[in-house]
Amino acid sequence: MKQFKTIAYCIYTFIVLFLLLCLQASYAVNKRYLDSVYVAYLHAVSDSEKMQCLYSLSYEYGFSNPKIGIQYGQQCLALAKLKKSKFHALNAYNGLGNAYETLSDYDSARYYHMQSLQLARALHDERKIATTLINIAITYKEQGLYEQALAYQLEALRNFESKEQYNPRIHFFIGQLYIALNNISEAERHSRTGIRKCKELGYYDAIHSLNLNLAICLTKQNKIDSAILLLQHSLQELKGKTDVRITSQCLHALGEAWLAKKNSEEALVCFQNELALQEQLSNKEGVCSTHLIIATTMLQQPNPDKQTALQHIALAQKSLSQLLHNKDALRDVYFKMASLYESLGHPNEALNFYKLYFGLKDSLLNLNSVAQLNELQTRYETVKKQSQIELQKTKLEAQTNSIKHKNVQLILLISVLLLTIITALFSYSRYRTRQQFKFMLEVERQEKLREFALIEKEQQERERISKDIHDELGAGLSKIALLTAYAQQKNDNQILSEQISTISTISTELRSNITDLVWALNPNNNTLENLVARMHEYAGSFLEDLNLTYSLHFPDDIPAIAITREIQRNIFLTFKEAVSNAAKHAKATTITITASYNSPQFMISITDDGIGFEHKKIKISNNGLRNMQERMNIIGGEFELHTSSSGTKVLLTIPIQ
Amino acid sequence: MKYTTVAIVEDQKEIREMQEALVKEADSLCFLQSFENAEEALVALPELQPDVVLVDIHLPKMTGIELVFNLKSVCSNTKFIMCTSLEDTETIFSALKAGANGYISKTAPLNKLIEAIDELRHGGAPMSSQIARKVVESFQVNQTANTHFESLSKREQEILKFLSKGYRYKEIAAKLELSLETVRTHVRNIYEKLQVNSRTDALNKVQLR
Repeated sequence: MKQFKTIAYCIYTFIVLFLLLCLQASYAVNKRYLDSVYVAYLHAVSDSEKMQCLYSLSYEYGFSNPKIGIQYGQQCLALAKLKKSKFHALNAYNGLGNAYETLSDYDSARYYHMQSLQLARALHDERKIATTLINIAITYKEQGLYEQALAYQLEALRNFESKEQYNPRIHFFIGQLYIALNNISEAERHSRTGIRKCKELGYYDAIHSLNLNLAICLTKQNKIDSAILLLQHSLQELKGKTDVRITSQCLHALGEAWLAKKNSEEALVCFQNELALQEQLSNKEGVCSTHLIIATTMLQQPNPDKQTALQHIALAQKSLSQLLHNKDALRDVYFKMASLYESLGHPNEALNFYKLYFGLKDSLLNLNSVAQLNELQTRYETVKKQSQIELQKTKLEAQTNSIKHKNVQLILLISVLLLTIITALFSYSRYRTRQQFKFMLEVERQEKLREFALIEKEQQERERISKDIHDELGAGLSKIALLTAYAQQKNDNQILSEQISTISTISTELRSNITDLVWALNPNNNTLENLVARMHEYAGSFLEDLNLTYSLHFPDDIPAIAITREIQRNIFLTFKEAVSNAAKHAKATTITITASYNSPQFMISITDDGIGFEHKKIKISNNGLRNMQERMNIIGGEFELHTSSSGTKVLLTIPIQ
Repeated sequence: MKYTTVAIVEDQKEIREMQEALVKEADSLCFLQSFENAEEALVALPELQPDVVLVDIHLPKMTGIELVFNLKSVCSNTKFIMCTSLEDTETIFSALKAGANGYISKTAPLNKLIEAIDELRHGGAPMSSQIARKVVESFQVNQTANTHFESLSKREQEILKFLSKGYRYKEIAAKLELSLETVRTHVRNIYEKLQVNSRTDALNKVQLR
């Protein structure tokens, strides 16, 4: 027997450990997307990319960890203000508003949504104006200020109507608010309009929520059978869909409809299904009210299971904290709890909740409630005495039993202790590693930030220089190149023409060199992949205009390894020189260029069928050759030249890691 | 045969006059009018409705990019060619997003300018590897942020990939077994989608609860 128990405890321990691991794993998956956005942020080059990333971070964290979401939102806002970008500031405000909403700080959320609204109006972005109006309405609704919420929703609706746009959720929101304000005929009208519009425009998924509103209206108007039919139809269609929220709401409405028909059996099934979904959504508020309604429904049954009902009430109590911001809802819950406890025969608990309820409802208790309280107080006293007697009885019993059960208790105690120690050790080690990881991340982040500040400075300088080169030198050289080319075309004076031709060639070359320089200064171009693309493009455009056959073999899978500007420049210039030698001086008819990368060697070969370097007419010059050789030496590469009277092959090999 | 009518917006006198002369000499082209700045062009061009406008990017007050952006909706049949002194990717890319149909370097050989105009009339537009890369990026960024979005077809993505790796139109045509014309048409469609998306811009993803 004892052995059996020990084994059972072991199994229990394993199950607990396994569950802990599962929890850890699911946590990791949720983090992955955010991490990737964060990495994107660290690598973002332009400010708008940064702001986009910051906004995504702020928006996504807004739901899971709103405090971090707020930090990112503030960063994004600061950057947007610095860059005077209304568009990004609007995004930032939206992110902040959402984060504060998750924190249930609806006043702050509304403040930011209002800022959003102002910017959206300044930008004349009708769609954003409308969605922001809806966001503001939501904050009012969450605080129980239904009239204000309704005003904003109606404004959003007018906005959509005037621009002939439509949002399938708007009629649902308005319907909900009218129901909350007990204006059933308006709610019904909006639900029906919404259903018609959604059918017209093909928003079939949105129809269910409108059906839900309509069904609630029908229930309130005592047309219960049609309400039940409508909801059952919607639930049938929702089966297998991922939108759990709407399914749970439909279940709730269906349960209420059954209750109105006095069919507590069916209602209970609906509410229990709803509870499972609410827990899946981890919607504390929903869980709380569903527990309460289950308890209420149970008590309406002929032979109520009081124990289970009590359990449901206790569970509802646990979720209460989420309701603190909405006084109206809280008051209702307190009242429901009190009456439930009362009917279950727990006057002391009931008294407590009545006190809370009246405290909220009105600080001045009216006579009626005082009487109610007094009565409860007396009942509470009697129950207290009774329970004290009960307690003593059980104590006595326990003492007699305790001797018998000592052995069992010992095993139990040891196992529990063991379990606690293992769990504690396990979670401590996890805590330590996570703490260390966090610290490392933070250090890394700080370093990165510092690094980025430096890089940014350098980048700005680089951008300034290339802009200067571009504006001053480039424009002037372009003009010279163009004018001389034109003059050359128009001129018949032989000598002058030759000189103009020289000027034209020189200025064109100069300009092309400056283009190369500006290209190299662009920080986006610092990978091997981009260099190869540029070489490919250059070779293509250069050879296309000449009267010869050529074939280019550039692989598509060159990796995006970062390379220094020095390597980039030396490879490109050497390549240019080699191609130009082959095309212009060697009198070739066919040119073949092949590039390849086998880590760590990058190889390029330029082969032609020309007359070779030994030919007397060619004087390219030792100068050119020496230049290529030197360029390769500087970056640790090799320069090979095979030349004969039937062709030349230049092979460049550069180690790149 | 119908002539291609051409207008010029260029602030440097020498270049403007030379471009005028080139256009006048070309058999297939007909010179309409030239402008020193964008402001004058903005008033006159909607009346003229030329087939092609050569626009300098760097103009004194309003830039060539703004000019194209403002004219695009009122001159729907006009093609805009941006003239640049250096191939500065960022600037060219913004011009393309604003609605430019092509670009040419001011120092390209003289016959290239006329060729570019002719080519553009028949639907072609150049795209360098750097521009292609920017286009790819822009579509990726928009795709995540925007639901009302013109996305690229498989073919278009394929062509962009080759362009960003430095392939020429001819090479791509051979590689994908398409005609040169088809490749050009695809590139033109990519440009159009880019412009449509830049205009509607990334909508805010507002979650409705």
